Amino acid sequence: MPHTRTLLRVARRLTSNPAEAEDLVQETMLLAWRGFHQFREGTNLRAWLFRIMMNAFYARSRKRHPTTVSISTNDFPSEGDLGGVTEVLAAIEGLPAEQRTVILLGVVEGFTCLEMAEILSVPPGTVMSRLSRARQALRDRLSPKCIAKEA
Amino acid sequence: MNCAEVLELFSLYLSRELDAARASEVRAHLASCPACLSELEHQAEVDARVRGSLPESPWRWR
Repeated sequence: MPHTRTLLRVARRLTSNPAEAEDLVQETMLLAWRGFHQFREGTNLRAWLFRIMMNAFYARSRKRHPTTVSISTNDFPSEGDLGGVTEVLAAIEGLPAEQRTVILLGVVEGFTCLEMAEILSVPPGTVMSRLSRARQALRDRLSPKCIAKEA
Repeated sequence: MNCAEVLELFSLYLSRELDAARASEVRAHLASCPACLSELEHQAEVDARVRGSLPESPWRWR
């Protein structure tokens, strides 16, 4: 199934645990299958799938308390944490959901601001300001020393 | 283009969404403004760290 791995990558950081993330992606694929007649040929399938997933995520969030991301020590090897992965994930976790979402979609998945505006049903200017605030917050949270070490 | 205008366009610049004329204006400003260039480099470094920390997740149907 195309795009499931990248959907899961984002779902994992939106939801509270791996099982919930997999549930969200499965729900997304089911909704996409059922609604495939609504997909306009020639448009961006990946963006369409992410839009479905974000809508499903928001619907789930409305039904229960907003989820927070739980970073499991089992997610990544802990041996020395050479790339400072834990620090980065913690910084992403600490972002408000709206900012976390644009970081995941824009920086990690490479969607443009216009595509994110479409996926999230918000004006492009809103995406840009969320992205700008998110980048600033991450910069504040990630130690300069660690950034320099990575570069 | 002044610093505030350039900073406002950084997200679009980094995602290569600016048209050629605006991108050229941003580059011209960066060439003469070490502060904005440093800001852009830091943002790009943060982006690189974020990308490097989130590999694709293995998928299994349950």
